[in-house]
Amino acid sequence: MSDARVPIADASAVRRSYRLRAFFRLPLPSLVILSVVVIAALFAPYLTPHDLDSFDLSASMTPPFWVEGGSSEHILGTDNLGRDIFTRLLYGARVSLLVGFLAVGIAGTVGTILGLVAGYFGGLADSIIMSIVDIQMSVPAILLALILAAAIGPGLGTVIIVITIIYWTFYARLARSEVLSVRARDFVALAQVAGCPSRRILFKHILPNILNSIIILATVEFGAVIIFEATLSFLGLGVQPPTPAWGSMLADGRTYIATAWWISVFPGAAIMLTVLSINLLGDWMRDRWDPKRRQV
Amino acid sequence: MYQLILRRTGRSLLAIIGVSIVAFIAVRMSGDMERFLLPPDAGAEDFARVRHEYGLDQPLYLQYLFFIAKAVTGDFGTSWRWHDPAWTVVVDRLPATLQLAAAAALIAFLIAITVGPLSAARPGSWIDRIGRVFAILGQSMPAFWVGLMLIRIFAVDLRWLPSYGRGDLSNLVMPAISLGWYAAAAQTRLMRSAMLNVLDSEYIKLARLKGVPEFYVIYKHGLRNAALPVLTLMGVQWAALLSGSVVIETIFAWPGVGRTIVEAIFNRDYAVVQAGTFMMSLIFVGANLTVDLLYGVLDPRIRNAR
Repeated sequence: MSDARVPIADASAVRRSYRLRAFFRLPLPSLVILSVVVIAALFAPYLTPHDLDSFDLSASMTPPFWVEGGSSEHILGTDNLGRDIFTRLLYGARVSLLVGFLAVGIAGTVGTILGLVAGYFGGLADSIIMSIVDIQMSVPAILLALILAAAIGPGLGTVIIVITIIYWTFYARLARSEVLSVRARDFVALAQVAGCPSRRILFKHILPNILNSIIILATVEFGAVIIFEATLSFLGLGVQPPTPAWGSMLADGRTYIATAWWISVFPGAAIMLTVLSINLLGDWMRDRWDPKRRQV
Repeated sequence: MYQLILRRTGRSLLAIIGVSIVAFIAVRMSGDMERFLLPPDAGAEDFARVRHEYGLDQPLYLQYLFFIAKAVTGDFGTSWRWHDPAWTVVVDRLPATLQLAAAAALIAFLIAITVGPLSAARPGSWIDRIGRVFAILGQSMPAFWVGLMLIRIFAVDLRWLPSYGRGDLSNLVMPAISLGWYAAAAQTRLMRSAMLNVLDSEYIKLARLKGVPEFYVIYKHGLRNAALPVLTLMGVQWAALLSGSVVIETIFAWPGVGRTIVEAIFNRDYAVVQAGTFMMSLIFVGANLTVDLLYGVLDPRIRNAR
C-alpha cells in the first residue's frame, strides 16, 4: 500500500494519490468497448458502405475477409441471404441499447418509486407492494415472458414491456430496504418535525441518499437485460425481421453452424463483449461507491 | 415453525393463483378462440353456438373460475396439434427436462466444489485466476451461444458428440454444460468467498497447528462450513435451471417441456401453453417453497423470525 508512506499532515497529497489510483483502476477496456458499441448504434449508417436492407444472393455465406474465399467488401462475411454481417451488427447494437436503456429506465423508475413508498409509509401500501413483488419473483421470468409475448404478440414494444414487468421488482426490493435504514436517521425526523410534506421528504431527502445503490443495480441489470432481450429475440419472440437484433442474428446462424460459423459467432461475441464490459464497469462502481457490497 | 410453514405456503398459493390468472388472461388476449375452432365460412349462429358451448359468452370472472375448476383436475383442454390432453402432452415431456436440469446442477456443483476451494486456498494462484475469468465470462455469455459454440466445436469439427436429440449419455453432455455454465460460475464465486471466510477462522488455524494435512483442512474442516451458502444457492438455482432449459432444449432439440411450450406458442396451441406454464410454475414455486422451509429447519433465526 503506497498511501502508508504519505505523511498524514499532507491531506491534499493523500487525496491526490487516492484520486490517481482510482483513475488508474478505471476499467478502461470496458469503457472503450462500450463507447464503440454506443458509436456503432448512433452512427450505424455512416460506418458501413452497405445498405441495411441490401442483400445479394450471389454473395451469400461469404466468409470473413481473412478466411479463404472472403472478400474485403464484406469484412465479417455475409449471411444466408447475402446480407453484410458487419452492417447488421452495427444496426443490431441499436436494438440492444434501446431495449437496455428503456427497460432499465422504466423498470428502475417504477420500482424505485414503489419501493420508496413501501419503505417510507409501511403499513398497507408496504404489504400490498411487497406481496406483489414476492409473488412475481416466484414465477419463472422466462415463462412469464413467453406467456406475455404470446398474448401481446412479438415485437420491440413487447420486449420492453415484458422486461419492465420482470425487472421492476429488484429495484422495489432494494429501494425499500435502503429507505428503511435511511428513514431511521435524524435528518428525516427533523424534516418531519419541520413540517416537510412526505413527497418532499421522499424525493429531496431520502432519494438522493439511496440513488447510488440504485444506479449500481441499474448498471449490473443492464447486462442481464441485454442477454434477456437476446434470448427473446433468439426464440423469435423479440424484434421481428428484417430489423436486425443480435439474438435473432444468432438464431439465423443456428441452421448454418456447420457450414458458416461466422453468422452466429460474431453476434454472440458482440453480446458477450458488451455484457462483459458492463459487468466489469458495474463491479468497479460497486467497489468504488458501495464498499458494503464489495466482493471478496 | 408452523407460522413459517403457513406463511410461506400461503404465499406460494398466491403465486400459483397469480400464474393462473396471467395464463388465463394471456390466452383470452391472444384473439377470438372461436375463430380457431370454426371453419372460415361459419355463420353467425355457428359462432354463437360455439361461444355458448365453450362458455365464452359468460362473464370473464366466471370463465376464469371454470378454467380453474378444470385446471385443478388436470384438464387444460386438448392439444389440437398432438390430439392428446394438453396435460398429458406436458407430463410426458417432464422426465427429459428433469434429467437435463439434474445433469446441469451436477456439473455446476462438481465444478464449484473443485475450483472454489482450490482458488480460495491460494488466492492469486493460476487456478484462482482461471476460476475468476471463468466466473466473469459465465455471467456475460448467453447460454444459447455457449450451446451453439459447443455444437460447432464438438459436433461439427471434432465429431465427438451428437448435436441434437435425446438418447444415451453423449446426448446429454453438451446441453447439460450449456445449461449449467451460468450456475457453475455463480456457485464457484460463492464457494470461493465462503471458503475464504472459513479459512480465516480459529478452528482452521488450530487444525493447521495440529499438523492436519492441508487437503483435510480444506476438504474436511473447511468445506463443511463453507458449503451451506452454496447449498442454499443451489436450491434457488434448481428453479432457474428448470426455466433456463426452455432455451437450451430449443437449441439441442431436447424433447422436454420448455421446447414444447415454445413450439406451442408458435403453433397457437394454447392448451399446451397453459398446461406447460402451469406445470413449470408449480415446480418452480414448489422448489422455492422447499428451499425456504429447509432454511427454516436448518437456521433457528429464520424459523423464529416474524
